[in-house]
Amino acid sequence: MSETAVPAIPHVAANMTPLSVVLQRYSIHSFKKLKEYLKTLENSTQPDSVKKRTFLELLVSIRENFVRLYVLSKWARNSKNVEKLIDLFVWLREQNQTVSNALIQIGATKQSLVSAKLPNPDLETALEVLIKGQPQLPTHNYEPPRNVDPNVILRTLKDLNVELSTKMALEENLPKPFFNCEIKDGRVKFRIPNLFQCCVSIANTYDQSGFFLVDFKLEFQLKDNKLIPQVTALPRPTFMHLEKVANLELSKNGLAGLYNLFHNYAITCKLYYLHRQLIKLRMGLWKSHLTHTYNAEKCFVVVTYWLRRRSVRSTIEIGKMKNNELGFRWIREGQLSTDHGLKLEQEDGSINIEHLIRNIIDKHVQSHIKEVQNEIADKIDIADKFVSVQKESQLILKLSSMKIAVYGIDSLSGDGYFQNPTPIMMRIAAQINTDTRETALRLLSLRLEVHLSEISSLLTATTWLGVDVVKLPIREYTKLGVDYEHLKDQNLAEKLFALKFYRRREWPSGWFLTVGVSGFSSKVQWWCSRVKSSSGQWAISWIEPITLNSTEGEYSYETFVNLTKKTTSMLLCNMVVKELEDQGCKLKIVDKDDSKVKQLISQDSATKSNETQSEDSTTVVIDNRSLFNIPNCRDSLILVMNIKNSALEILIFGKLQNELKLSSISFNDEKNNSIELNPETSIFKIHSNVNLSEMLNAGSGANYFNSLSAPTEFSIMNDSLSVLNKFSSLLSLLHIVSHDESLKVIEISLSAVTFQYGSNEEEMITLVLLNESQDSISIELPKDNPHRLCYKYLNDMVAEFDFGKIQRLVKYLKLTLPFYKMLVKLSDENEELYQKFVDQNVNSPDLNMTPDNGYELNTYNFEQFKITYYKYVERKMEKKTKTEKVRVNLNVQLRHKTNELSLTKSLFLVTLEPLDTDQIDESMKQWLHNLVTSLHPTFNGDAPISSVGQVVYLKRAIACSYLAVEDVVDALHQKIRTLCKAN
Amino acid sequence: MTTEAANPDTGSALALVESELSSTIETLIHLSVQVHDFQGTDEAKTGLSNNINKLIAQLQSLASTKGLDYVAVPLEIVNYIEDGRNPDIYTREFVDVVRKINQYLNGKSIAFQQFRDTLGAKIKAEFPDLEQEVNLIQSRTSL
Repeated sequence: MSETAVPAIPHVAANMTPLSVVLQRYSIHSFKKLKEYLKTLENSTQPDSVKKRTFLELLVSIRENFVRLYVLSKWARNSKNVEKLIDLFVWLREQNQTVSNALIQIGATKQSLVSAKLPNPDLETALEVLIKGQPQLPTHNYEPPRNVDPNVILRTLKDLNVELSTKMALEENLPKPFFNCEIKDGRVKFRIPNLFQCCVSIANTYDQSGFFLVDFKLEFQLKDNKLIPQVTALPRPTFMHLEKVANLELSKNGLAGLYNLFHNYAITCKLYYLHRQLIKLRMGLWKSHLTHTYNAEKCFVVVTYWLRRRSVRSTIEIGKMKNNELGFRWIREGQLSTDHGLKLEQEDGSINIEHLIRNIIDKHVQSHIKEVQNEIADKIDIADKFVSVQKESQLILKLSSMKIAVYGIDSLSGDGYFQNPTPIMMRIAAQINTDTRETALRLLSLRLEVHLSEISSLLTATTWLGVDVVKLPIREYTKLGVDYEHLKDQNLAEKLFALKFYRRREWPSGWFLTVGVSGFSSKVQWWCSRVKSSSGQWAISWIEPITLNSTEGEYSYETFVNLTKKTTSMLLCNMVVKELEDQGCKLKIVDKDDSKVKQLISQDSATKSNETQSEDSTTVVIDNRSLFNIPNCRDSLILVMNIKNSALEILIFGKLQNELKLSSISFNDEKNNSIELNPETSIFKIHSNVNLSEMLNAGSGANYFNSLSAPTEFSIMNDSLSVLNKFSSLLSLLHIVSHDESLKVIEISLSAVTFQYGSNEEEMITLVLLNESQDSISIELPKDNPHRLCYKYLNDMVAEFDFGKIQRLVKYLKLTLPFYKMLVKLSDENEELYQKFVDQNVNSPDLNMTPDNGYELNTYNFEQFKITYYKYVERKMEKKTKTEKVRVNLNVQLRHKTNELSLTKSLFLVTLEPLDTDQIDESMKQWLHNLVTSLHPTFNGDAPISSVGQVVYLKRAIACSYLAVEDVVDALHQKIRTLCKAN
Repeated sequence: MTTEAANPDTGSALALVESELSSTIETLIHLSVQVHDFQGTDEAKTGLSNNINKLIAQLQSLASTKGLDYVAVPLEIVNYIEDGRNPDIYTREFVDVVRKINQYLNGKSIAFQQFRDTLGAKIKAEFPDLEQEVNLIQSRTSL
């Protein structure tokens, strides 16, 4: 090698310090020491000697070091060479190390070459060398392998095939599936379709030990979560393990054992793959709807589907069946189902567990739907009319004429559902899902609820108010006569029938439209009812079925509007009838087309008859005698009621007997109640209008829902009946009045009758019916009526209404008219006299103490009066004249032969008193005597008084009839007055 | 060896430093004498202070010496001088060590060559196929 090629020795710089740095550092160090010392020297209190000493020591130490530096600088002359030496030394040491390493490597090589040594001489190798001429040493891939001669291979395989054929032919216990085998390529190939294929061969031609396993493959594979038939080799480690087991089994039990082993192995594998499919399924769509258990030891898989469904669990058990094949059993809701016709493997031999589960679930759904349909048919007669099955898996339930519900079962969860559900359906579906056993019943109750809601919405739309408070106890249902015609199972009546109560806003409490809806029939029953609650128990007090003229289940709004009218009129009639019955009326409801009734009504007026023809009218015949017993009236009264909107028109027709000659009567009272009497036909008509809304609202107060408080009583008929009653009273009055020819009816109104009983105009009386209850009466008299004197007495007489009293009054009036006329006349005369007397006294200077010809009138008991005449007789006493008063009474008294007033039997007795003169003096006696004497012929009848009436002279008295009393009294009065005037 | 003789290369930086060092040592000796004989007189004070200033000036000069970076001082030399031993001895001994190891390695080298040749001859004899390989290795490793 050339010199230039030698590389430079690497330079070493470690542990080397440049000299300049050494010098610089020590110079600075020395300077610092010096400076430090000089600084401390200033402050030091040490003696100078010590200071000197320290300073010297410092200087010496610095100098020593500088000497060393000097030495170093001398040495530094050779520093370059030393440096080179150092580099050389380091390099040589490295070389030394390299050499040592090389030696170690040689040692290691030597060790590794031990295996390259020739083997020790032994017998085997010696024989080998003897046979082959050289030992068979490992080539360590230095020599290429030599191929076996194909001819040899073919020959061997052919030999093997022959050998195997022979062996197979001789095999005694060959299992049946292994009959189908193929001998080829020196092996026997068995193939069990869809399970496995395996190959066995023999080891040695001369060996009798038997077969050993060559190959095993499964004939199926899990692909896309589906078991498909495809030849699949096992993983190497699995195969090796299986090979060991299989060979052991072959040596023990031969091919039969091998078959059993592989069969079980393949089935277990399939089951495991199914398990894996199921695991995948359970992680996806089927999560929480499906579960399965896999038992590898017992070799089965149990799949439970519809986990959330509340019913007995349904399972699919997959495992080895009795025929040793893989199969499944379907246990449907706890019962083994065998008629499903489904197979685990599809036609192409693949197994799709999801497909299988879906098929089974479809079957399940179909059978369930069928069951529900049958169950409904078992419960209800006409089930086929509204229940049908669609696509085998859906139940079509006809809810009403317009609506259908499609009930199905979700195949995933097993939950029942409705297509396009309404909230009601959702609720029912939820109920069904809580207990699937009652599906049929729930579906029927859905029908019930849909009916209810439909009716409810229709009714609500026509302003009916639903009342949920009313709950009728079951025992009350018997009163309804509910139609359970189509219901086979009567136990369900309660569950499938619902009563709902509706009312109108203006209705009084207790009035209801009762709707009976059922789940088993589309027929809806209607009732008009009165329902009352006592101590929390509702009870029907009256009920009447209603027939709606509509096709079953089809109701128009018009129907319900009409229903309003209809029910209202029914309820009103009911109330009216009840009211009348409470009054003791005997009633019968007649057809308004009854000819006689029609005739009667049409006689009244042609126009009115139309009204009675309307839909809402009701006609009732009332027995007259049971009501007010209107005098002179035919036995039957006809009550016709019409309802228009909120007004109730009440018409009462009656016919009077012809005896009564009456002018036409027609008037209205303040409440618009009117009465008309047609004198030609003698038919009277009472017409009154009741404002129902006012009345019913008054009746149905705020206490409506307070069932404990009795509903406020109100009366619809009150006005009409009061009119009728008045009319009746009036007729009674008229009856009395019209029978007496001396009476003349002047004016008639519904509340008052005026008639004249005397000859003069003012001699009339008005009887006023005081109030609606007709139990009292008052009288009114004209100002000039003589009877005004006894007005109060007369009023008292008739205060309590009684026709007898009226009769008595009339008699009294007639009887006492002359009496009172006389009284009035006398009183007027007396007044006149008195006035004259007053005038005289005012104008005359001579005070006249007593009026001349004056008299006093006194009445007693309204049947008697006294006229007291005074005569002043001057009597000469010793010195002065004394004026004595002589008193004479003319007594007029009504006397009755019997207890009752009678025009014929009651007489007026006119007497003069006192005629006894014992106590007075002679002159007076004389005067009285003269008086009596002069009157005597009159009383005696010697000088008869001219009069129309009967006069009986009784010597000391005169008895006369009411017609004569005026004349008699007047005659006597004139006479006595004349006598009194005379001296 | 070279202690007494002055540096023949008088103009070099190293020679300058040597003279500076020797004058510094001299100054220090003077200073020591002055301190020792210091009596407190003004003259003595002035002399002392002059000397101190001189010393400081010399130190400053030393500290700012340039041109000596090429002189690398091994740490062991410093230790030698510190212990008061002659650094030339260290140099002599070091030369000796280097000579010895050089000889040792030379011997080893020769021994390896001989082993190589012997082994190569043996391999060639045993595996004639490898002769080329052996020759190649020999030619590559021979110096």
